[in-house]
Amino acid sequence: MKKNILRAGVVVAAAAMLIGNLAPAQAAYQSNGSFGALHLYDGSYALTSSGTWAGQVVGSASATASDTVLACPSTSTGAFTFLSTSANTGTPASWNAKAPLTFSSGTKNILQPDLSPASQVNGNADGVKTNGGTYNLGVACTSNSGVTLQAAFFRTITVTAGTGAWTAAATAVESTGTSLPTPTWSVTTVSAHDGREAGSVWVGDVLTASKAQPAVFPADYTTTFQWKRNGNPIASQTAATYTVVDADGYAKISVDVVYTAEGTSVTKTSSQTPMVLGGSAVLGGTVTMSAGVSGISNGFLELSIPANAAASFGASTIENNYSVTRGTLGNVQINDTRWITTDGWDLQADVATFVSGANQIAKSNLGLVPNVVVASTKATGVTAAAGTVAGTATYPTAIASAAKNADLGETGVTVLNANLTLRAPRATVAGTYTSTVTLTLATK
Amino acid sequence: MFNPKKIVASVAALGCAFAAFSTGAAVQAEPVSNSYSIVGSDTLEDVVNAIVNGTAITGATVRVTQNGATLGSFDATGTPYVITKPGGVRFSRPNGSGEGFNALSSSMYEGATAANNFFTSATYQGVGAVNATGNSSMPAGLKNVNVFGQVDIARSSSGDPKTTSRTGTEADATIVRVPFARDAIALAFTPSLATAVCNAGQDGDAGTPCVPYLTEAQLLSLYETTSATPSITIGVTQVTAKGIVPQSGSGTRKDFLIKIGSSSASGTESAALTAAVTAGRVAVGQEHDATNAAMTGDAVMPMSASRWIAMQNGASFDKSGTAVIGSVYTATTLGASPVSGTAPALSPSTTYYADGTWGRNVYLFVERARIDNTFTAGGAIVAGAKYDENLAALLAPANNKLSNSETTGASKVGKVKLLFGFLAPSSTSLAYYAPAYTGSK
Repeated sequence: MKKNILRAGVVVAAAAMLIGNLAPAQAAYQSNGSFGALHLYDGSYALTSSGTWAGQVVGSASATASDTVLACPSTSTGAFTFLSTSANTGTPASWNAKAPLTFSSGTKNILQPDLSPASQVNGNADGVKTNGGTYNLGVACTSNSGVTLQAAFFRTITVTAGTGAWTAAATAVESTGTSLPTPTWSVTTVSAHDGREAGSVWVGDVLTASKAQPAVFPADYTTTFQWKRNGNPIASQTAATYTVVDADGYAKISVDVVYTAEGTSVTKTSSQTPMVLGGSAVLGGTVTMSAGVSGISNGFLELSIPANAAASFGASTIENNYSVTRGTLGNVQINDTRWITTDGWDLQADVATFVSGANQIAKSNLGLVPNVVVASTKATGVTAAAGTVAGTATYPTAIASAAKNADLGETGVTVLNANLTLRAPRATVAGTYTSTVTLTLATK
Repeated sequence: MFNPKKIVASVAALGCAFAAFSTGAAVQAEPVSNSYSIVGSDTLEDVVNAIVNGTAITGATVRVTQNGATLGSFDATGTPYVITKPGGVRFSRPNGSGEGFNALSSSMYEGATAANNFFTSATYQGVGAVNATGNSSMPAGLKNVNVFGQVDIARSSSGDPKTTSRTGTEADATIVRVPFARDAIALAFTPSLATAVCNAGQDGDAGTPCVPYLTEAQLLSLYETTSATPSITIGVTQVTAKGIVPQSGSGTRKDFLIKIGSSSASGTESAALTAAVTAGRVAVGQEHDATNAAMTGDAVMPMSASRWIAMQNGASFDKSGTAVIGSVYTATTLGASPVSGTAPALSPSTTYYADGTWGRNVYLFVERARIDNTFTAGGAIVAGAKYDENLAALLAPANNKLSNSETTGASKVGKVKLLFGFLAPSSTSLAYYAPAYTGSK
């Protein structure tokens, strides 16, 4: 069993390495396939989305500053401005027109590229002007002497045939986030525990999230973190690191990275940690009961229960001039997978007073006799308690317990049920009496 | 019959042979222009090269193209000849503002005087130092070449390189001058002369480095000296010095000599200067090249401040050698340095550049009818018949093209000019000129 946890940890680590090695080549962070948002500025450096064929227009990665560079991947060895159909954008040899660019000195950055269609001196820009249509206009980062596309920042433009006047479609974040990286977590501060296995996560550890972002990533994205316990957000835990607390015992932790650009947010979720070890976990839950009590002149019983923990009662019968109602609590499953510590547990039940309007039946009138559902129980060392007798019952009462250091079997699952007997005092007014059984599971 | 294509082909083949077998100075062929060709001033060649060939000196890629075509700018010096257009003729390389203006004139001439289409450079480069013998050693095949249609724009550091200024209404005012930028003429001193001048009391900078300055009167005295051992009088000190003038045809030479009074405003150099040059009391050296052969001992030469800045900043090929930049003293410059800051962020001194005498606008010259669709040359041509909207757009200051002077923004041509040591011109007004021809040589 211990090996299973170890194996899970190894799988997670391998996945993280794969993500880290993902090349940014041609990753599309915009819905039109662009590597990042490309904002256009006119000759006065005012934001624009249209222009004339020969009018001044330069590109920027920012919607608020004309001089934010477009960062080409480090693998780029050249750059061009280009004008291409959407289908050919990934194929430099098939672009309609282009013009060479130079990186800013010592970087792979492109500053204020001249995107005027008339400046695309190589190829056949005039054909685009003559025919009009829809094209991608932008900056391409290339390698292999311009043959291979590494990344492309572009806007989709519609060119008017003849005049060459053009209008650019709005930038739009690729809302499914297909190219966004999946975050990973790692244990960066390891708390000391006897017999600690590699790859395990314990209460007291510090987890650190990695966005797994490529070194070159669209500058307009903002990112936030959210840590989760068993898939549910942990309040106020939005930093890049998270210290595992006692409440995380026997739960699984994951982290979300929320990528936001241009008002669109995309959430990417890491894998879950293995189950957190250590801590003094107390697990609890309730089962709602509702039983009908017939009048002394031969009435009936009724039950409504939650679908996943069904208590059921039979019809009431008159026995010795008492209204007696029998039923079952419904299966309750305990899943104990503490393979290493095998602490054992105790399950107890408390019962609230049965109420019908102003009338009550004391909880001592509910008899509860627990039993182990053997066919579904894999754990060993589980013992059902004797339970209570209707009329003399006291609560809370033990339901079952699992011995410390007992073998948890193949799955650690224990399924329990209980027979219920409600014997109403003779003076009880007929009516529908409701109550709840509160089950409390505690580690030994 | 002159057959330019045949000559082009044979020399191209020769070039191949040299490239294949020579490891020394190969015979290089410059690429031809894909649209308009630009020749002329040495002062402007580096900045215009950068603008039309593309530069990232501002951080952004700046390249002036027009209507989907690249331009070609040809240096003032290099191989003895250039070919500017696809299938074009080979002609002697226009060296400097005046020859650029001549070449433009010959390129646009459409009259009956055949010699007006001829261009012959006064220098024959690549075969030794430029000297007073000019083109006398030039092969006959490079002389009197018909350059019709080969030159579109002439760079000029001089406002009136061939002294053909006209009013805009005169019929022969067929060339228009478009302001390009503002430069200043400074002085380059050899280190020993710089030290001597500063030590004699003419130091424009109280601290270090020393900024030697000379007055216009001292320069006139030096360049028109009759002494076999020329010197400058500074206070009571006689400082031995030798003046150097740029090669004939240089816009900087013409400007400099006018400013010190050794030339008439029309460009006629004084007899005293001519005598000093002939006698070797004043040397001739390639402009803006402080490593030229004459720049030894105690020598001084005019130096474009912009070229100096570009060389120091690494924007231009550095021909500053060990020279020290200095200034000309006027009531406004007060002898202060024409440049400020330190390389590679050296920049123009706005005070010096603003000087009415030593600051100077620099220009591009172009055929007027091609950018002015109302011009008729007194009825000789139909208005608009030669108009070229692309050439007009290329020279309009409002566009981010050749005449742009905006210095804010890495994508602006004006920003490139600034980093090459040029400020915006003091005026954007156009001016008009008649053509000038070299004639038959």
